[in-house]
Amino acid sequence: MAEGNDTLQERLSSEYSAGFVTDIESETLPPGLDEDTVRHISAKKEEPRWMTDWRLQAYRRWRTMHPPRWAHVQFPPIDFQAISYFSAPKGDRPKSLEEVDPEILSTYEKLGIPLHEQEALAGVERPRVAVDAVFDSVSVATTFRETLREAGVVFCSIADAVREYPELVRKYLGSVVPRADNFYAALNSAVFSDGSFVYIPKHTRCPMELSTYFRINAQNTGQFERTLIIADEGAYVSYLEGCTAPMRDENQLHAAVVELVALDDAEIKYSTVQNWFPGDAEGRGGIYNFVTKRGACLGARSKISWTQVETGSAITWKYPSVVLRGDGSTGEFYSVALTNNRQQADTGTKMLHIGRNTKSTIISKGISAGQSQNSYRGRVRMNPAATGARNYTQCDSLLIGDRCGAHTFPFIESRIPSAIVEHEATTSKVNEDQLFLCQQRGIDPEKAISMIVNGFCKEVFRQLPMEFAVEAGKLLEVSLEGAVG
Amino acid sequence: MTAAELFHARVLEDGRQLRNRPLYAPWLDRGPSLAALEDVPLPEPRSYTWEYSNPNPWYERNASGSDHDGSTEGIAASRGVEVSDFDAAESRERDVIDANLNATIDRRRYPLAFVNDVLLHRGVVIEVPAGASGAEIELGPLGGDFERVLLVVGDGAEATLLERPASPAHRIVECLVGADASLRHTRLQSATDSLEYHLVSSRVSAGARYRFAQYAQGSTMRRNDIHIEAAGDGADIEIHGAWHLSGRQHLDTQINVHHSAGGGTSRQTVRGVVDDRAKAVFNGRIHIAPGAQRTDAALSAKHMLLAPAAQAYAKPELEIYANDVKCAHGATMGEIDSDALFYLRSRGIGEAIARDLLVAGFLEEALGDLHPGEARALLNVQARERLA
Repeated sequence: MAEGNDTLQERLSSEYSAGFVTDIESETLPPGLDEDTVRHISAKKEEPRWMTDWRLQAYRRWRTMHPPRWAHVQFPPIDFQAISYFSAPKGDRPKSLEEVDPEILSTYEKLGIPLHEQEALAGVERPRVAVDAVFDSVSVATTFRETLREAGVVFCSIADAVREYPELVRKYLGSVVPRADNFYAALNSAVFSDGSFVYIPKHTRCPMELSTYFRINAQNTGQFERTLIIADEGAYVSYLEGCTAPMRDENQLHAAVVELVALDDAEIKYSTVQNWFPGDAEGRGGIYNFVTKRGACLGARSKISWTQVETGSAITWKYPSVVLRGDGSTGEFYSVALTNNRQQADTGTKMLHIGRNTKSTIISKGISAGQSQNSYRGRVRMNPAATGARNYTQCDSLLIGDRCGAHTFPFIESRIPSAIVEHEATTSKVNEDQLFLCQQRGIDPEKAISMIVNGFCKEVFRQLPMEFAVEAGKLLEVSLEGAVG
Repeated sequence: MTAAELFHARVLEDGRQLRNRPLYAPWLDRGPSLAALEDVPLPEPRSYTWEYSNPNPWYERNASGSDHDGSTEGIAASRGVEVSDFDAAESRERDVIDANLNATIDRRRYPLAFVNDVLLHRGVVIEVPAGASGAEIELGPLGGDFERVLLVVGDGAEATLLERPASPAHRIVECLVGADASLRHTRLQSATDSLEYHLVSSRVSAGARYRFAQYAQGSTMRRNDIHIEAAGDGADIEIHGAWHLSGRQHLDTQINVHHSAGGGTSRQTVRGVVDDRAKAVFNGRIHIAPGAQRTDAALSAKHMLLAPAAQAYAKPELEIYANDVKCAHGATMGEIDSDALFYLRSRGIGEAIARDLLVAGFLEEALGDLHPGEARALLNVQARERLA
C-alpha cells in the first residue's frame, strides 16, 4: 500500500518534467520590434544583403496584417512590442561538441536528448539519430554532420545554410509558405533566428533519422525557428521534432514556420512530439504555439507525411498541410492532440489537391480533459484539374470529464466530379464497458483510462518511429494525470 | 462603403421614416430592433459564414426598396387553427406575438432578422391549440419581400406545416413546438431567378418531436439558414434535405442544430445533386451545450457532382461541451458510382435513364415520409424534361 502511495506521489509531482530552467549567461535583445531589430538579428547571423532585405520585406508586410481571429481559442491580445526577439547563450558559437557549454549539454541530457555521437554502447547497436539542438534563438550543436556529409546529405542550422548553400535557400525559402502567408508566418519571416535545414540529394535514402530539438530557456522571449527540408528526386528522409520549455508564469510565443519540398518520387516523413509547457492547472503561463507547417509535393508520385502528437502548449494553432501539385502525389496527416486543464488547441490540416490522381489521408484523434477546448479544423480542396483525386478523413474525439469541449470544423470543397472525398467524425466519452472490463481485472481507473486512450490513438502512434512512439505513449499518460476522478 | 454597409444605412434610414408612419401593423414597436441594428454589422462577402456565397447582389437588389401588393392570400389552415395577420391582430393575438416573436432567434447571429423586423411587409401568426390533432397548415406566397411567419404549436398538439414554393427576398419562419407536441414541417423551393435569404428558427420543447424537410432547387442566389434548438429534455429532431441544382443555380444551406437540454436526439440526412455550372454550399452544425448530457446526434451529408464545372462545398461541424454524448457525422463528395452505372447498362438500360435512376435513388435517401410525392415532383422535374 505504502509503495502504491509512493508511486502515485511521484507521478503527481512529475507533472511537467521538462519544466526546469538552465542557468546560463545569455545575450538577449531588449523587448520590442522595429526594422532595426530585424537588421540586428540579420547582422548577428552574419547574413548576406538579400537575406536582410527578404526579412525587411516580410516585416513591412507583417505591419499591415492582423492576427487571425477565426480559431476556436480565446486569449488576451499579445503585445508584440513586449517580446524579446533574440536570445542566445553568451560567447562564440561552439565549433565542436567539446566547446558547448556543459550547462547546455546537461540540459539536453536531462531531457534525454543524445548530443554525443555514441554509436555502440556495450555491444548494443542503438539506432542512430542525428540531432540539431536549438537553444532559445540559436542552434548550439548538430551531431553526425560528417557521417551525413559522406552520404551527400546536408543537415545544419538554417543560419549556416544561408551562408553555405545560398542558392538552395534562395530558391526554396518562402516557396511553400510565402512571407505574407499569414500574420504569424510573416512575423517569423522577419525575425526567425534559427532552425534546421535539410537537403537530401537525388536518389538518396538518408542513412539515419534526423531530429531537431527545440528548447526555450530565457524568460520573456519568443522562439521563431524556421525549418526547410528539401528532398530531391527519389530521396527519402524521416525527420523528428521535439520541444520543451521551462515552467513560467507568463505566456511565451512560439511562431515557427516549417517548409517541406518533395520533388519527383521523393518522400518526407515529418514527426513531431510537441511538449511545450502547457501552463499550470489554473491556466497560468504556458506557450502560445502558433505555427505554420506546410509541405509541397511538387514532383510526380512524391509523398509527404505529417505525424504529430500534441500534448503541450497553452494554446495550439497549427495546421500542417500538403499542397499536392505533382500527379499521383500523396499527402498524409496523422494527429493526436491531447488537452487537459485549461489548454486550448485548434489544430488540423489542409490537403489541397491540384494534380491528377493525388491522394490524401487524414486521421485525427482529439482527447479533451479538464476544462480544455480541443478543435479539429481541416480543409480538403479538390481543384478542377485534380481528376481521380481521393481523400479519406477520419476525426475522432474523446471526452474525459464534463467541463471540456471537443469540436470539429472540416471544410470540404470539390470542383471536380471524379474526385472522391469521404469524411467521418465521431465524438464520445471513454467507453464504460472497456473501463469496467479493465477495472474488473484489477487495473486502477487512471491506468485503465491511459490504456484506453493509448488504444484510441493506436493508428497514429503506429506511424511514429519506434522510440518516439514509446515516448508519445508515456507523454500521454503524464499529460492525463489528474484528469480522472 | 461596401454593399452591406450601404444596405445597412439604407435600412436604418427607411426604418426611421417608417417609425413615424408605419404602413404595416403600426402597433408593432420597431424601435428596439432599429436601435439594435445601429451597431450590428451585416454579413460581408468572404466572411466566415459567407465564404462561398456572395450576399452583395441580395443587398443591391433590396436596397431600392419595393412595394408589396398587400395581398392577404397565400395561407390555408384546417379548422381549429387560428391564423391572423399582424396588421389585423387584436389585443389577444398581439399578446401572443409580443410574447413569442424572436423568442427563438439569436438576432446578433442572424442580423438580417433585425432588418426583417424593421422592414416587415407581411406577418402572420398561426396558433395550434394545445392537444389539437391533425392540424394542417399550407403557406404559399404571402405577397411581401420581408415576411414573417410565427407558428405556435400548443402542448401535446400535432400539426403539419407545408410551405409551397414562394420567392420573397427574406422570409423568417419561427416555430415554437410545445411540450410533447409534434410538428412536421416541409418546405418546397422551386427553381427561380430570384435572390433570396431565408431563416427557419424552431424551438422544440421537452418530449416534443420536430421533423423538418427542405426540398429545393436553386435560384440565382438562395440562402437558407436553419436554426433548430432542442430546448427541452428528450426533444427529438429529424431533418431531411434534398436538392437538385442545374444551370448556374446557387443554393446555400446552413443548418444549426443546437442541443441545449439533455436526452435529445437529432438526425440530419442531406443529399445534393449538382449539375452543369451550379454550386451547392452546405454547412451542418451540431452544437451541444454544457449540461446537455445523453444527447445522441448524427448527420450524414452527401453530394453528387454530375458535370465538370459543378461545385460543392460542405462543412459538417461538431461543437460539443458535454461528455456523455454520442455524436457522429459523415460527408462525402463524388460522382455517379461507375459500377452501379455499369450494372444497369449491362441489363439493357440506356445510359441516360440509368443515370437518372441512380440520381433519383441517391436523392430518395433524404426524402423520408414528409411529402415525398411533392418532393419527387419538385426534384425530378428537370430529369424528366431531359429524358423527353
